[in-house]
Amino acid sequence: MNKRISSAAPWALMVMACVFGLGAAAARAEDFADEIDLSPLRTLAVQHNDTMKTLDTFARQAIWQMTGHEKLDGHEAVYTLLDMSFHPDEYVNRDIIKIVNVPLREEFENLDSIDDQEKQRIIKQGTVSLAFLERPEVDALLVKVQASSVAKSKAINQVMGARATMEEICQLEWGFIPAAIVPPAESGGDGLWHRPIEMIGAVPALADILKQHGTAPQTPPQGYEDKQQILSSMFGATGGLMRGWDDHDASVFNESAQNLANLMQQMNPAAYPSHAKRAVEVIYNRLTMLTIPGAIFYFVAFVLFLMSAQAGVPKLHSWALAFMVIGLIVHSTGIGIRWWLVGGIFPPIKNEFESVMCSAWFGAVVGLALELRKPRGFFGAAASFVGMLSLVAIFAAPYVTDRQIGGEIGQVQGILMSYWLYIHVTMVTASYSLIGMGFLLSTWWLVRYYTGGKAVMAASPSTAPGRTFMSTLDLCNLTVLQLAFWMLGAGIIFGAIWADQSWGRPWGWDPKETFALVTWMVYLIAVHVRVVTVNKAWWTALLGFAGFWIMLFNWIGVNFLLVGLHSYA
Amino acid sequence: MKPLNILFRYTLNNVVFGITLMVMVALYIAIGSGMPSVREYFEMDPLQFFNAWPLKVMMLLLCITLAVVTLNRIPLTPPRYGVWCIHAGIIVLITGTSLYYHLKVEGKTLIPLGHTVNLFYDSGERALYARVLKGETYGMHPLPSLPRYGSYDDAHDPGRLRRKDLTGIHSFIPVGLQQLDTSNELSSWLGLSQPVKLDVVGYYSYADIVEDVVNDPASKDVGVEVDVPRSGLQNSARIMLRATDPTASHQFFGPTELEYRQVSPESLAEIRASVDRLFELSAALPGKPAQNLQIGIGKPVELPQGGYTVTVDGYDPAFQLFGSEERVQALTLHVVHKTGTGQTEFWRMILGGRALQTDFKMDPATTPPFVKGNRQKEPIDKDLALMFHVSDDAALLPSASDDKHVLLTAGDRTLIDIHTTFSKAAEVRDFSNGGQIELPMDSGPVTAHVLRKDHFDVLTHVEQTPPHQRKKDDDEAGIKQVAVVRVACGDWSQEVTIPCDLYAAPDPMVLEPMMPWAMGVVQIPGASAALQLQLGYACLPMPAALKLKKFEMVPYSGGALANGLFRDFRSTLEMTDSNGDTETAVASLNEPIYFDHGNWIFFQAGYDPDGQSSTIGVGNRPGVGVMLGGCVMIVLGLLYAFYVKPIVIRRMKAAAIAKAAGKKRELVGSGTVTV
Repeated sequence: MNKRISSAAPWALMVMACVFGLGAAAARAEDFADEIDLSPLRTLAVQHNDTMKTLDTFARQAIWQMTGHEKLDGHEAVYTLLDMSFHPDEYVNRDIIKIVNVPLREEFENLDSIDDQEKQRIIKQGTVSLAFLERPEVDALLVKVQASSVAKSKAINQVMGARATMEEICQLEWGFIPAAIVPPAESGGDGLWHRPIEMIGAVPALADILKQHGTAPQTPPQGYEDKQQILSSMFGATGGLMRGWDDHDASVFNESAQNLANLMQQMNPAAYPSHAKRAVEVIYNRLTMLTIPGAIFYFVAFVLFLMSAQAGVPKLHSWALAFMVIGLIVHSTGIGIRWWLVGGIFPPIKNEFESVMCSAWFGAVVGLALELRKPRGFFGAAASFVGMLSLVAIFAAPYVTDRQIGGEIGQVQGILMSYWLYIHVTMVTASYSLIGMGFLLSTWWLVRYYTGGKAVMAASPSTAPGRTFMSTLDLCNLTVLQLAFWMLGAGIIFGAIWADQSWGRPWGWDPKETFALVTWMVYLIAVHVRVVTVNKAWWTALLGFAGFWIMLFNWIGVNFLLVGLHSYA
Repeated sequence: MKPLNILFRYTLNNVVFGITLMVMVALYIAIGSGMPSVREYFEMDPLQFFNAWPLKVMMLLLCITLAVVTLNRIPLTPPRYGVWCIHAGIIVLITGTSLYYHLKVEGKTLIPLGHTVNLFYDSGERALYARVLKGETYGMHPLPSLPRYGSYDDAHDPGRLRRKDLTGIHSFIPVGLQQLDTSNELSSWLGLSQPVKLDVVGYYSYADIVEDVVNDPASKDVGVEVDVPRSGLQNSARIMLRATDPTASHQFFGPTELEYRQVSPESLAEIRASVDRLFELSAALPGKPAQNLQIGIGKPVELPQGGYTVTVDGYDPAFQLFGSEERVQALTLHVVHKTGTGQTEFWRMILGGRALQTDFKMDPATTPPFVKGNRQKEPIDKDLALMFHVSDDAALLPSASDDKHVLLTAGDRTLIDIHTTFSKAAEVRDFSNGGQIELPMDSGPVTAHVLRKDHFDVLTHVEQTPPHQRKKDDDEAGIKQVAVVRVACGDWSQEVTIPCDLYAAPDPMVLEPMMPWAMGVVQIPGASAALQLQLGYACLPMPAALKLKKFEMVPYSGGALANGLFRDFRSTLEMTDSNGDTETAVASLNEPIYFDHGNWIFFQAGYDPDGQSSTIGVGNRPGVGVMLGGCVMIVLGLLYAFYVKPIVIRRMKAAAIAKAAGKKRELVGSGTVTV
């Protein structure tokens, strides 16, 4: 790391010093972060992985890939990206790169160069620094681990992807934004977007400074011969960004940012995406491409539909319909924005993300129509369930598979690694959330039971006509737990199908799968206990209460206490 | 009859009994999976624990109870179709699962590039391998009841090793291509009239075999001690090379081959001299008879005619021909041709046993010469025609690596080291007073100390790894298993300590194990040859012979960041089944090969960092279809029971009401008629 900076530093320093001068301004650190306006930079167009996106999208993806979180230090992604590229030395030694896989973390126990405390910290927190990953002995260790266990290759893929991303950002200090923000040449070029650092050679004044200091600039891309003025101003603006950043001078920074945004647009107005599109993309990103908002409405509608169908409360049904309609509106808006951003006459069904989104929309519309014709709750429940499942799945797939499915606009990708995996994960997590709901209802029931409900129930047995509050609560609990029960069962089966394809056996008694089965068996027992006992609701509530804790142990405890193939989940 | 009825009523025909069974099954699997120490105490791996009799009995009882209760108590009416479907599905699933775990075979095999392999190694069951060191006969004896997790010997729980398959072992199943016409009796392989009996008397799941060199003035043994200090991730090691143990004279340390030979002073001189005679070169000039001369690496030799001086720059025993998979021996020569007017210099590559001459122009900026642009379409010197063959009679060149030390002792105190590589002149050094050799390890070069040893004995003892240093994680485990076997023949007996070799059977292509066996040599008095024993995993026949045609390691993109790590591994395998039909497919990290209509699966399970071999996982998939059928029945049944049943009941109620109403109307109607 240090070697790379030191080799880049002298000439870069010279370039900057000569062109802009090194002015000193009063530092107002505390206000700086609030005063700067990142919006012109957020909407900068960037080409990355054959895809056009905004700098906002680019930065979010980079931060997520490195840290496994949406944000670092509470700053938004673009802020962190800039700070990291301006001051790499403040980041390279920080433990921010996340190692997701627990068995891989345990491999660091073999290192001599770190103490036991640090080893324990890595196992617990899973975070390491870039400098740590670049140490030769760590490199050698990873090579050795991969050689001894191909099973860990996927885990190494994740770490190396994060490392490569951070290296790319950290090796470009001095204000060169580490992304391809320079639009393609209007004619005679290769049609690609370029990173600012590639363009130094195209500005003779800068190239000469470099040559005087014995460094030959990179051969610039062709087609920019008539753009020297703009490019030169661009370097002025990027330099201004860094100067403003270092001096905590928000006005210099804001001016440079606005300047840079204008310059990039002027470079090739024909190739530059419209401002509206870029601005909408930033908002669209912020709302998880409208998948999660839609899914939440669908989910609430789904549970309400089911409850109304089972408990027969008309009010629940109208609420369910309302949520279903809102969910469908959000869903339709998502498709509409997508269609507009991608452009074209046909609806966006080019990749998995888009096709799943559109087919789920079709299903939801048909389901809603049927429900309006026969308002019993069943069609509504089915349609909202499908809508929720598909929206969560397309949102979660890249997190689970560590691979984009085309959530990025305009990208055309091959088939997904395995549909089974994300159906499995969605089903299981959905059932876990239902188990959580069941826990809530069970606890509620038990509390009411032991604070007076017992006497009420004794006075009017459950066989009595009409519903008491307690029996309605029990019925709702039963609805939720039934749902959790079959969804968990189906989720486990989908997991087995995926494991058969991926690990070579459907069931291997891995702790995670075993405890999912144990959780399922708790509800299996609950179903059967209802057949043979008198106080059915009490047993259901008790097992609903106990099942939740087993689920929680499986979800969280297994990762830390037991090592298995699922440790990344 | 009556007590049985009561018993039946409270067990198999009882829902509470069924629920109790479910609770017990849940507890059993939770303990088996969540508390590995419990199953390890019973010496069971996960597959064994979940295939053990208590779970089988519980599952059987559960199935019977389920069937009895369903038949007796649940009428087969439309609202109950769901429950019937679920219960039938559970029985089908349990049947499929027990079928699966009963017939499941899983293992792996190591395939060197271009080799064909027809057996694989079980992932759980181990075997005792035996090899007769003359004639190279190999045999295997499976040890299904060998423990896996604990340590057992005379001092600690010896009863655990007194099992039928662990004691009195005398017959071995031949493995490898050579099939013996004679019996499977070890005694007949060794030419002994008395039976040979082997007992496993010690087993250590995680240990090292430490060789102790003790001074013994009476011993006439001569050997060489190599001391390798600890470096990076590699622990320190002391290797004792010696002639008395035929397998201990040849060792690999990292990429370096170490070979020890005890020779007479005359042949020592002969071997020393042969470093300059590794290749026989035949040089022909137009109109003149071909001249033969001997040449080593790195030393210029003048051709008798034409003013040529040639130097062997490098030798490649397996040079891959451009655009083909064929590998040939190749020699790179630096040729200087002096004529009256001046001199020309160039590189020439010649292939073993072929007349093809390939020249490379001499460009000092690009050494080595194999750079695009340097290669010439026509030979630079068309007159000179060179051919070669390897004449390394003293076996000085590396055979399985590219760095070799031949350590020679002769007489009372001499020790000579001959260091050969494929690209540098051989070094001959006198180590009679000790010396140092450089071992190029992965984490950097290591300097090892070499010393001649006289009058010693090598004793072995087992050193168990302390529990906190054991890595129970997937792949490390297994390598450090150690067994102690007592070999007895008549009154004579001896205990040998044997390590574990993960791929112990001989590779059919080279008739030798992939990894050389170490230790475990025993010389039975009167036997025709020494016997070597090794612990390993039981090998099983492959469903199809697998040939590794191509092995690709897909690196990370981004030149400077490429650091020996890989994104994916892809093995191109040619599968030949018993009918001789072949089929080619690629197994990569996420995509296995399904063979024989999905009954077998081949998956990428490991690799060799040099890309010269690939580890392929092999497994069968019995009963997967049955299990899937059971699962589908359960899910459909659940959906029916939860969501269709209420509709059915509502309809039935409505129909009953309508029927009742109709009857009433009928009654009323008939009433009016009568009135």
